[in-house]
Amino acid sequence: MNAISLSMLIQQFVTEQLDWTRAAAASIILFGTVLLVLAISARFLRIGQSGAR
Amino acid sequence: MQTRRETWLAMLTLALPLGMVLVAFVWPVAQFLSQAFQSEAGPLAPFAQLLTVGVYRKIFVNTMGLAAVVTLACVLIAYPVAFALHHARGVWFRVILYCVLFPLWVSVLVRTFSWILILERNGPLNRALVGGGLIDEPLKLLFSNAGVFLGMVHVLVPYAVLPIYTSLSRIDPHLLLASDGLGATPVQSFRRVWLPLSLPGVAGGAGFVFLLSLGFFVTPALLGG
Repeated sequence: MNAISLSMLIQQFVTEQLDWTRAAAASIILFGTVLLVLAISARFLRIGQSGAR
Repeated sequence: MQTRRETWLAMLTLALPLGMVLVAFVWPVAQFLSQAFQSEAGPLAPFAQLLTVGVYRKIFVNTMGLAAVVTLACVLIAYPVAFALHHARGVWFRVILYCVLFPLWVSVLVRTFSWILILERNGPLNRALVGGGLIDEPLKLLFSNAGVFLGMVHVLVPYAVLPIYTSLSRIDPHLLLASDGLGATPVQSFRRVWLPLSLPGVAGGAGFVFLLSLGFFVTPALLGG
């Protein structure tokens, strides 16, 4: 259990427990985290603005 | 100015790939994600369960922690490599560049399986450590966080090297000449010129590696057990 990651948990929900509801919920949490990290990066790195300086 | 015909042609050209993305990617993913809100216990029950049950919370924290450590290690390894790549000329430039790019051409699955051979209990790494007298008995490197960490760093380092190298290449060489002319030592030039100006590349590479680490599956699944 120590070295398990969120993507492995999603795979376990789908293939072993056949629990698509929780797999989808975990995917949304992972997706939300990625979007949050992207939003924070964009805020500090000024992604999308011409000339980063 | 774009004519009406050109606009229609552009829209028609985009229609096919856009339609394919919508049908083959957006629609199935949306269908899958919508299942999260179809629980009999309530639309937010699965989320509440995932965020409150200790085991799931631990997995989430473990994923974030591992991604952060892998990112830090990748940046620490990638910066000197990118720095060396920027300063290398001729054959050395090609050697370093191919050393960075070559792993990207080999399947992640193949590279991860090679790590299994290296990290196993009777693998070359454990044999070298025991043979060298550094440890008494073989370490449990496979199916542990250490194994996942090593495998992920190996796979993700090129993704940090390339943005940092690009950032270093954009630094105006006149600034370094000015720094040199003003009597700065190489260490001072690095600390006051190289490092601050390359930080956008470092942040970009770190962000890229962190995002890839969060959703990484093959390596943690094979090396984490």
